[in-house]
Amino acid sequence: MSELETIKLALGDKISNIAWDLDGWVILLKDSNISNLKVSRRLVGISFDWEWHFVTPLIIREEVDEAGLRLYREMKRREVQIKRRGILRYSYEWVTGELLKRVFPEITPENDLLTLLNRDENLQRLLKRSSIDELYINTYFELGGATLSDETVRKYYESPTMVGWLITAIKGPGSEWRFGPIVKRIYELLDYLAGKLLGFSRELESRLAFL
Amino acid sequence: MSAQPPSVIRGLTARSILIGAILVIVAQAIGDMTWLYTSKTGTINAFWLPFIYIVLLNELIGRANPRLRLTAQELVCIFPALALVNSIKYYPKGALSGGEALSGYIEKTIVSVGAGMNDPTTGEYWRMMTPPWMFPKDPTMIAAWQTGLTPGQQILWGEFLPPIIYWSLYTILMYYLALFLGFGVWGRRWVDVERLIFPLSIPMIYMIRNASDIDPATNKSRWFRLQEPTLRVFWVAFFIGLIASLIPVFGEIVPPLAVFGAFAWGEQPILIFGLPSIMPGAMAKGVFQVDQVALWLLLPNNLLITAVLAYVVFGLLYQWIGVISGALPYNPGMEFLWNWEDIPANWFPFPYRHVGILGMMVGLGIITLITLRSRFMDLARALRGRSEDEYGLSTRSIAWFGLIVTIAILALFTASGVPFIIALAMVVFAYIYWTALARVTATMWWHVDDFANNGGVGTYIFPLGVALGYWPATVPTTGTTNFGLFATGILTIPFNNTWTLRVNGFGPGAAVTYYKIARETGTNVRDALVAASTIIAIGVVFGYVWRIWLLNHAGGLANSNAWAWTSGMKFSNFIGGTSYVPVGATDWVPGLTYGLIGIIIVAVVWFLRSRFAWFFIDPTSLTMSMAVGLIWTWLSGLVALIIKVVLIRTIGVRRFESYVIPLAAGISLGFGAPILLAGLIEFFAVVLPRFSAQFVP
Repeated sequence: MSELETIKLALGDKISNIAWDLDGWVILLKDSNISNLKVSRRLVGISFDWEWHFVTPLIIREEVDEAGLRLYREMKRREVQIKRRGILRYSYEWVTGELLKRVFPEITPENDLLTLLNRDENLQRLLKRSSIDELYINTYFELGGATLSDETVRKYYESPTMVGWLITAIKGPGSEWRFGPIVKRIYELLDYLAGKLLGFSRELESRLAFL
Repeated sequence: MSAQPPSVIRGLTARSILIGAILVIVAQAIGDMTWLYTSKTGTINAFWLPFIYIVLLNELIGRANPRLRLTAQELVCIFPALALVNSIKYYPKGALSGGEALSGYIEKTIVSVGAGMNDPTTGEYWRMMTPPWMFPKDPTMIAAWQTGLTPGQQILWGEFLPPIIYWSLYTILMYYLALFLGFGVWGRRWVDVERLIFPLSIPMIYMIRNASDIDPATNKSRWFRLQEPTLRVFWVAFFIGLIASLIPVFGEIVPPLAVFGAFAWGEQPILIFGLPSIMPGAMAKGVFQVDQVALWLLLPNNLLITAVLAYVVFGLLYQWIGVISGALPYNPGMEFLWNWEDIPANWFPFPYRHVGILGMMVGLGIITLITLRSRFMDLARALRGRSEDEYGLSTRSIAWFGLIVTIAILALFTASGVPFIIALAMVVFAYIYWTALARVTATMWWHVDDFANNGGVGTYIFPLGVALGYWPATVPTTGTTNFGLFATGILTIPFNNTWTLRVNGFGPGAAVTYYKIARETGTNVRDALVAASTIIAIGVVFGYVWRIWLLNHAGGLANSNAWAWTSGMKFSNFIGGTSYVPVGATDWVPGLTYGLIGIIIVAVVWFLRSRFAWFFIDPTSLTMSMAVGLIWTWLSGLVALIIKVVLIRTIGVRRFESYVIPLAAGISLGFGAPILLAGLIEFFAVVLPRFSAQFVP
């Protein structure tokens, strides 16, 4: 059975369509907080171990006016990622995103999203259940070329064409045996997280409207 | 490691040629003397200078005078001098194994034949059959081979000239065939397309790249910049490796403690004493190797799991259930034996070691050659004129090189008396088996068992000669008088793989590993090939001359560590009787049957692995595990797997990815570094005195 067949079995009737992409598959979803999920794999270092990348965009606004631009930049201040601890059993903590700190050292991070996520016990449960290795919540951006560069991120920040989030979950080597359950659990995690982010974004948007 | 060199750089310079030529002569002179007269035959048995000292010396010279500093590419071009003398074990840690290097070829050629002529039981037969180009016919020279020259006696060099030329040619052609396959056939695809890991090459590549990264402001190598995290990890790992070297120091060097049967600097057998009382018959032995564990951290999990799983299924469950069900006989202590000893891996009903050697290795070789068919087409096109430049090496040159070497081997074998079809079969099996050997080495490690004297000749080559009417099916125990069979028996070992070939410093696996080193250090590939070929030619001819001088002038076979017993190995392989597998077989049918089963197994596993992602059993890892009787794979695989999982879970994938190469390289190089000290002590305390005591001017 190929990985794609395993993904189909794991996600079942949530899938509306599947498209090929350069290095993986784009799974179009229905009845879900996320509309599509890109699943791809990448070699770890020089070895033949694979790590799996699950990337989903969460679009809040498809056009960017002045309010949209403001929203995008406020969202940028709230980019977060997980910090994983433990050996046999993991625990997770949400921390300010590395990408934000590296590419935008001049921006002061805002902690409200981070606090919200850290207080969510259900999210902590889903994180532990998926035993994910890395998880990033960044503002949405589009790649200029084949690879991600700091310059691309900065350019998009200056003139975004859409407002939204980009959630990236990474599962490291050793997931091949239990690939089906892992895909299902990561999907449940991302779906829940997307729901939280949508709610948070709406609330942030309304807060900004009053300022 | 991650930064790719911008382009290929010339490494073949006047000084690198000169240093390489001098170094191979010095190394073989000291190394072969050490081999013959050492008291540590399994450990200090060649030239005991790990390459890290050459690199450090180069740094010191470079600091004194930058113009004298050898470039990375020049270092790569002199490396063959020491690899040739010290075996493939020299690549990751600088360890020595004279019997698996050039000296091992000398043992299994001229020494073996000369020993046969002196054998008290079969000597008369050997003296009758051996042609003068294999060993002198002069009785005084035959006798001197056994006990050395008597005072006043001199070597009759005229008698030795034909054997020197003949065996040098045989040995050089074997090396050149490995170079052709490594550089011309396997290397490009395995490095560029399949991206095999080549674990054995990692320490050398890491060391040379970093040592050659010179800060122009200070004229110092950046290798020592401890403020860089990855280099700090390397040096910490280096010291961890140094501490771990206490294992071979106590296990192999210090006499009262060297009781565990370890050898080759850290090939440490571990016996699980309690296991037989719980699972009688189950394999309770594994070899632990620090550098193997370190470098296997680079392997994907599924390769490691396959190695462990193979042990669980065949070593534990099969042997245990076989014994308690009565399907396998129980011999007390069978749980602790080596793979070449009397263990269930070599018995009916499922001799999994022979399934591995005669079937899975052959199948792996055939499948791999099939995947390389386009490469053969490229080389064929290059022969007709459409040449391409591949990192400095023209495909036309390497294609001609390969063609000439292959034809020369066929010509040499045929001229030696081997029937042409048999010579062809030997070359075909060399292509197949060497390909499997190299693939296993490039993917995992050097541990694979021998084809020629583990049923390969009896199953595939000898029956072919019987079928074609070249010799009868029954060989008299007093020795065959059929010269075609005699010549075949002499030449098939080591050509069709015994350990001297598979673990050689320029055997199949090592040749393609050297190609990888050349590529990753940005060395002009043609320069690396020319350097290796030149050093091999010098080293081989010198090696034969030097060995003849040493044995004659200092005690002969009887008073040295020379492998006189290899004549018995050749004799039992179809010169003086038949030898079939598995244990108890009386003809070649069981070997052929198990061989076929092995070919089917590896083909099915290969298909499933390439078709289904969830199917994690790796055909190369499974083949290696089975073919080496499990002992050499499972324990290091298990330890590496545990360390890797813990590391990834502790520090995360990203940091593991950044640090695993310096970690593995550091441990391996640190582990091997004390060999110099142990070698110096042994050479001056044992080797030189023993040689001097027996020296006859």
